[in-house]
Amino acid sequence: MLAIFASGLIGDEALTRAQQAQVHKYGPEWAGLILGVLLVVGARSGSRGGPLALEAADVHNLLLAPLPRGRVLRRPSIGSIGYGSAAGAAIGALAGLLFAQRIPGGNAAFIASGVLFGATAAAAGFGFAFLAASRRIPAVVMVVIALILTGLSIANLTDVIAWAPLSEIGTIPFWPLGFAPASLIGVLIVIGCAVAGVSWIGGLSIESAQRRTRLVGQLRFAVTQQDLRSVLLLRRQLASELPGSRNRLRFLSRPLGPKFPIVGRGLASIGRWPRVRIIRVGVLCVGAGFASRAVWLGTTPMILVAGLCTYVAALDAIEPLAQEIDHPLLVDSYPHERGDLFQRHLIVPVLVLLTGLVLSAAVVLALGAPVDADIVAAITVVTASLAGVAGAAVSVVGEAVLSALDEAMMPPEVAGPRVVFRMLWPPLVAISGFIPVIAAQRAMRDGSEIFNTALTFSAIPLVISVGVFAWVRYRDELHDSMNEAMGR
Amino acid sequence: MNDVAIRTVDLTKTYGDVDALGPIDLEIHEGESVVLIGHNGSGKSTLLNLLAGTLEPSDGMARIFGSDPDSIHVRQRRSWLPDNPVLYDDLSLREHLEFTIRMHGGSGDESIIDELIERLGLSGREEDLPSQFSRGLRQKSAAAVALVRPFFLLLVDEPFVGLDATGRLAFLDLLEEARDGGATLVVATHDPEVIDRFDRGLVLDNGSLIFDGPAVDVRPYLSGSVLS
Repeated sequence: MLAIFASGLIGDEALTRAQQAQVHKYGPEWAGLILGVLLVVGARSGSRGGPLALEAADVHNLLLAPLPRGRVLRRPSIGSIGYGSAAGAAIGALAGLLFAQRIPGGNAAFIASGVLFGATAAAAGFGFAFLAASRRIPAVVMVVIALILTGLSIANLTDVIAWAPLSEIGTIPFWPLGFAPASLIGVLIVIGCAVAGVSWIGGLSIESAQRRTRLVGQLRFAVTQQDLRSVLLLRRQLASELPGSRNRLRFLSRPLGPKFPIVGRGLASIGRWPRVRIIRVGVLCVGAGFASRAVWLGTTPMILVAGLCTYVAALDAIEPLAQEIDHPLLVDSYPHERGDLFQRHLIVPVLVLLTGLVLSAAVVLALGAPVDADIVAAITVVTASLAGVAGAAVSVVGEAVLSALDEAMMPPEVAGPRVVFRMLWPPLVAISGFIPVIAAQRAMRDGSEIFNTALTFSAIPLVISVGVFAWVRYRDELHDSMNEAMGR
Repeated sequence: MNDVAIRTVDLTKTYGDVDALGPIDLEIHEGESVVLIGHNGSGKSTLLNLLAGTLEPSDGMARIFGSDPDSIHVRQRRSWLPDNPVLYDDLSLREHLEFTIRMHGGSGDESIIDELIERLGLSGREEDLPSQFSRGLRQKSAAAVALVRPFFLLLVDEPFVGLDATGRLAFLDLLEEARDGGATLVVATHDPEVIDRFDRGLVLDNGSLIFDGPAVDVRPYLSGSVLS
């Protein structure tokens, strides 16, 4: 899938000389930035005891036994680095193959350099993670170093500075365009980090190891069951992403609470979001904005990215409703219909997404708006917010994909397509929110009226969203009627 | 005699081939305070969950104030405190109490919130997240949530587990006040010291109701000598 999508994005025509020069200049800087992100992710994971997830019995029997912990943990650490590097190498090979389609240099050379960079980047991420987890160097120092290196890469990419350390390693996948021996020093440093990380991993915190063991076991089971809500909750616990003790939206939730208790409750929940979740939703909304811009400029497949960004952001925004689903005893204690309560809980997530996407549109438009983009943005902000929340609502209100007994009883020929449909339907609903952009882009290309076209096609996501919101309201009644009809 | 608050007829619950409860025939009248005792696995929690509408009977029926236990009419009048505290992850204690009281139609006087917080020894913790509390504090928080809303029937399962002495006494006083206010109480417990505070006692053994009489007479059953 990834290969097909990437191939479609990149195309098959050879780049011109000018374009090749651009790739030669900016390619290493982008590659350096990717490496920086991996370092940050690794350092953050390591600061919480990751990325190792041991068996509970290993933690209890081996890590508490009178054995050097480094010896116990060395093998799984090397295994993790090896597995990660192999995966990185595979992705690098794929990227190399795609480059070779359009840039002269030969398939073998691009694939080999892609493999080296992919493996190096993965080893760097794991190395940073193990160094942070080992506590030999304080985890916060590792996170700060990763952030500084990433910051330098961003500065290099935006031409604020002429050179960044990670951009040097980023030249590796572009070696067929010009060999840079200095990047080998970077590879040696990465190997040094990985070796040091594995050697010092004995300093791993037992508390972190125990917490991860419990959560990762549950996480694997939830993934097996394709239970997205459980996966999200466990991932948040793994990342220590807990609600804050202060409600930042108290000034809104308190006055609104007495008259609109569900809106007040939703705002109180959003007001306790940890900073990392606020940043994540903000970044996803901005990402959706830039992806829509790319759609507007003609890269139609980016609608998938835009839709997925709003879908993931909506899964965060819909937390107040998800809390109700997680606590059926509390819901059943209220003298209200479940569906009515759930439907009212959709108001706050829509407001959250509207706010995020309006800000995102402002950012994207401020960076240079194509003609009539503001009108299309105004329509899309509304449809994308509604469709994003509708997609998340389908995911959260519906049962875990494999949990229903029906699935277990069905023949595989029926259960398989049903599972695929239930997995794909929620993101597809979210993606439908960006249909007005595609319609407007086609109208612009054909010289038709842009605003009217966008407005007309906004009916599709609006109808889908209203349908989903009605399903949330009347789901119980529908189930009861169906069960009655089937004589259950 | 007051109206019937709870009526069960042949109420039965089975899990596969295991008979968890029943058949139970029972009538509890409005204003009665009932203590429910029995060994672990005797069916106390099953009975309370059936009355709370969180379990569906395998056979027979239960009616609360003449209606289905899961009906909105009953939800308005029944409060349920399960043995395992159920609290949102993303609301503070005060927000829990405010939300609960508002979901039951109250939007005016919320002074009961401060009173409950103080009496249950939760002062100073009202802005914290109960999901991150210790077991005892979570139990107190759940008790506050159960008591903050208006109710005519209170079902309580093992309320004293994890409570400190102050919290236990405060909760017992609050139960007595609820009874004096006319509410019907059904409390499952293993605690022999609280038996005298109730009017009527029910004893379950292996899913069967083996005693129904004055609360003071259930003491011999607590020792285990009478139970199978």
